[in-house]
Amino acid sequence: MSRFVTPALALSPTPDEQAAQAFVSSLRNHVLNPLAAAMKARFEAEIAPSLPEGATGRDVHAAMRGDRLFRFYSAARVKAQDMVWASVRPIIDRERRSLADRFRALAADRTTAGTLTLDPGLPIPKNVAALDVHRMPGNYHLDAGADDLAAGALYENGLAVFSFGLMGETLDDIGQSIALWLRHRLPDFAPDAVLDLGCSVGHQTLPWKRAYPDARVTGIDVAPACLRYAHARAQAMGVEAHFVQADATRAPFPDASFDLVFSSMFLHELPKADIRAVFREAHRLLRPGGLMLHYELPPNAKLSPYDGFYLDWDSDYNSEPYYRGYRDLVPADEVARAGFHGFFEASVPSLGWYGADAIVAAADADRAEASDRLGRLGDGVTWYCYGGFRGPAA
Amino acid sequence: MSDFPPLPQEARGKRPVFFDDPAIDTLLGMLLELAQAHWVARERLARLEHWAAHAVTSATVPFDDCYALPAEAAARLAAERDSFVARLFAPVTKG
Ligand SMILES: C[S@@+](CC[C@H](N)C(=O)[O-])C[C@H]1O[C@@H](n2cnc3c(N)ncnc32)[C@H](O)[C@@H]1O
Repeated sequence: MSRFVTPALALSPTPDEQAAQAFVSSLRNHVLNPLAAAMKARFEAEIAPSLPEGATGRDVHAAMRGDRLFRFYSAARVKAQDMVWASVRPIIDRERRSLADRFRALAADRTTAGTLTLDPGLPIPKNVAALDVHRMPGNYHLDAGADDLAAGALYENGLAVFSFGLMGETLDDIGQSIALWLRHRLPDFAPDAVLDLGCSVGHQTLPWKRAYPDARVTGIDVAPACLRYAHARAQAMGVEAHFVQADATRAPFPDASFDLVFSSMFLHELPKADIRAVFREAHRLLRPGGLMLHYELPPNAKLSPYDGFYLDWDSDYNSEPYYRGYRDLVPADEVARAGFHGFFEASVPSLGWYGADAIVAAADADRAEASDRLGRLGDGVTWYCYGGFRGPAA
Repeated sequence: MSDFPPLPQEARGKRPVFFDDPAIDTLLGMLLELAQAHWVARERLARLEHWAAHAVTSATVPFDDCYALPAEAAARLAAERDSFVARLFAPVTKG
């Protein structure tokens, strides 16, 4: 499963290790598609008719708990999640020194003017320090110092096994799709400076540099080994980007220094107070007329109770404690609360799944439609995003 | 080998349990480990069989980690893997 991993940073699994990874991908595909479909059919046939009018996702969860299919689906999914990390961890243990050497060589290379700025004194926020998000052993901030890339490698290689191709050949389908959509949605928008919050290894950061080659593109995260990995990956891909270790609730940049503040799969990993702090921070960082744009899971209010229950599974069983709380928020309210205007939301077709023409067509329709395919990782993916604009200076 | 400390093997936090008897969760986990180990052996055997069948004409090619199936045989094996997983779960969706 080195297929989706940046070649210069790819691991060398043995054929046995590759077979073990391929098994995990097949298992996840089976659990998330046919098994999930069977569970939904069971819900519709046997459980939905007895639910009261106005039942919520939580009610669906309570009703499904004792169901045999729910139990098998859930137990298999938890096991598959642990098998994802277990299928890459020993390879990283074996190649951790080699990865560090590759980092040093790529960082010394001057092919791009990209930079890496670490802040070893930065406190790791509790939403990262206190848990192993999506059961990733060691979590994002795991770091042995010096040139260590392990956490970034675990994340990228794990994601390659986890997503069985749905995140695109270079795991950046979200960024590529949304950047293409934005270029067609706002043809006159030409940002000079773009900021990606919680960028991890930079998968969705680099597409912005490709979409807006004249812009200075910066990614921030609290996790040092992920940022080293991001820097090495950008260097290897020849894309100029600047990675900075910083907390998105208090980013070390002056007021009004960006035109686009973006995030992807980030807000749902934050407690509510931090989400609001990030929105206020985005407002501070944007120039008048600038755009805040987030790719996220669709809010519960957009989904049927069953689909809300289905997405909230991670909150209960996949060490994503903030996921449900995030999805209970109403994006339009939060965007307005932070002082933005012109709230919009959109459902952007996946580039890999539907092609560029579908994205261009979707750019014309600016309201997201409620759909059970809104952002769920399974066959037929669309990416839900929303945002707002900073008004002119008061 | 590497001079770094080994990565942690287990995720922090409680492992969720879904069946009334937690032994069933444990057994399902063991079963999936076993199925994975079976699949690893199956792929190794498929490579070995392919190598053996072609060894007459390519006796100089050693059987090692570099010996890979050609694309067509690899695709057949991937389809077999998916149907193996489907067979494993068939009693769950049928019952
Ligand atoms: C799911 S990952 C994001 C993936 C990435 N944006 C993408 O779409 O490919 C979430 C990231 O948020 C980071 N993070 C969590 N809290 C943060 C904070 N307060 N400030 C900055 N980064 C944070 C984590 O370290 C992690 O790398």
